[in-house]
Amino acid sequence: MKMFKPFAPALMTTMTIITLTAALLSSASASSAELTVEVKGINNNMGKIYIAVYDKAEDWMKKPVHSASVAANVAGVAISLKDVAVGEYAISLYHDENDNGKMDTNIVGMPIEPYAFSNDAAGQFGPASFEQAKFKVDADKKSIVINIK
Amino acid sequence: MDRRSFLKSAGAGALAASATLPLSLNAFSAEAAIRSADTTKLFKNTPQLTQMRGFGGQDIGCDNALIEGKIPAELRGVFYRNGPGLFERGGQRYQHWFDGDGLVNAWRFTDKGVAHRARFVRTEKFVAESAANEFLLPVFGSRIKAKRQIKNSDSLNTANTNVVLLGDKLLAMWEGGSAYELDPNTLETRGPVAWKPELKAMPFSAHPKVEADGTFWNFGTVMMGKTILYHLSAKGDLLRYHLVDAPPSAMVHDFAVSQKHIIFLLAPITLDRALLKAGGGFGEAMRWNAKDSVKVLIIDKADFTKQRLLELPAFMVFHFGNAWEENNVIRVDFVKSDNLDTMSDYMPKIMRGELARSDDSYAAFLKIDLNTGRLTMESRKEQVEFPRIDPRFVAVRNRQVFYPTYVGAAEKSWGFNSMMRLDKDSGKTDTYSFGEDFRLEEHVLVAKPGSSREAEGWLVGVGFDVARQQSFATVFDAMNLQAGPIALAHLPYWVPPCFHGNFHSV
Repeated sequence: MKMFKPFAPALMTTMTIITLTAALLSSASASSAELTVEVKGINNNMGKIYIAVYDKAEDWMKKPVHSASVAANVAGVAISLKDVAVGEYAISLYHDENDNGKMDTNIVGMPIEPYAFSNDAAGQFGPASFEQAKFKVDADKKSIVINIK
Repeated sequence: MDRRSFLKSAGAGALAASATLPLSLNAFSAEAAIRSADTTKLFKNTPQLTQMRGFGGQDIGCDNALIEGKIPAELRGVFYRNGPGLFERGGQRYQHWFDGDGLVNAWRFTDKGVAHRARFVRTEKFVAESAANEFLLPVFGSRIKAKRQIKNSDSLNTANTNVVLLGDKLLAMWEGGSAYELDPNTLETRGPVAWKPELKAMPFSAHPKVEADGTFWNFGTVMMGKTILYHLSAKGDLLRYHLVDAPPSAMVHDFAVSQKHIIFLLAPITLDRALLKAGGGFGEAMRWNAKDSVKVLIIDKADFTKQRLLELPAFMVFHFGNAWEENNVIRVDFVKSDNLDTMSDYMPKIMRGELARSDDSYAAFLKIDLNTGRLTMESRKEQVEFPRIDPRFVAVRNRQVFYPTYVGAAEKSWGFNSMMRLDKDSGKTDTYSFGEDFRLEEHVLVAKPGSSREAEGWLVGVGFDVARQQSFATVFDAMNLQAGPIALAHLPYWVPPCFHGNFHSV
């Protein structure tokens, strides 16, 4: 069977090499890093852990670039996010114990489900800041641990 | 531990470990980190204040207190008390009595005698700080830098002010957050109580009012301008709650309840928010506004949306005796002082082993005529605090009020050394003094089983014997205090002083 024949095999080979090389280079520096978030200190097996990843301070706690959820487990959970571009991020997460899809608050707006931030950044009567929670994703694989309290 | 790591762990602005204590009279100014070894030096010459050393976090107990006199055969039950019991960790010492973690005491009166047990409430804070061996969270009166998330009020809860049995729940109470539930027998901590899911971490004051039929009233100061009211059944079911608009007051410790009304006396205390933001503590950010008025807030028990506001010239109030009303005239008794000075002066001194007098506080009596809106107030001269009445007469007309008081040379006073019964109707008092080397706490009336007459029973409390360096429980004939205690139950150790508690008869 006649296969598609490059009209300029030698050129094609060079272009192929260039293309492949370019592809290799970009996979090392652009959008294919995998970020694993390990969550420890979960109180019970009820509901889900929701995580939200933000890439800039202006969007902090408003527009995540990645989000995921997983069933809660006292032994700890790990969430893997693929295709995370190299850069700086901050994560906020909470334990939706009653599985109602939101962070519950009491009648005066105080949060009453467990939550945490990357870097174990501690908020005081409010969330930690993007600056306090930020960390770098700068390789193919990155793993962080967040303790929820 | 090397000097550098000590300074790091001691929090913001820690002084060099070997610095002498700042002598400035503004006690909150220094973020002094006082080493534990220094504590021994601080208290060496003031055995009267040994109790303010606190414990390191240990629980304690004694199966058989040494009895002097005779415990009445019908006095049976458990006297629960609560107070701050731990004041230092990892080289740092609190500067205010209110800061310590709650240590709940149970004095058990049985046919075998009197047994004592004290256990720390395992709050989130206590557990985390025990594991870390350092303070991790800010408190009322000392600057501790937060090293742990502050999610809501319960992140800071010390559960250290009062303890009461409600239904089958023993509640350790702290006005800034939830009540913590304990096992009434073992005093093990079960966890914070949410009366409804949406009320999790809402403040539940340490001064509920329980009527004779068990109806339980409480409140919580939410933030400046809002107060939550709670109405619970004797069994501990939440029947009603309501967020009311209230004139802002940064500290509302207690309230009163009459047959038809709930009464607050809101002192003119504001908060310096800039200081709070800059890392100041809550206590140091409180400002006394001497020229502003006390707001008298009267709320209808049957309809929390109905309220009335009256005013009085400024004074400070911590504790109430009782309130009752007849023909639309409400009578309230409480203990008043002139301002907040006791907080910023007396407190830090005793916390570093320095004898000090707390500010004068007097029994006061307010008549609120709802027909005319007129307020009339009187007060007495005795130095008193921690008023208690016969629990069967809460929110109805009563005559007898019981207070610890001080008898002796005013300049020598460093605490209460006597017990006084005041008959409000006759104005007569009945007092017994232990003398200079004893310190007495709040005492409670335990009615004699089968009686219905007011104050027929025993007055039970706790004291500290300076010479022996031991704590003891007292039992008086409530209507004859001047005859002296009919029994004392001595422990072989001292426990930190408690603020409030209740006797639950069996």
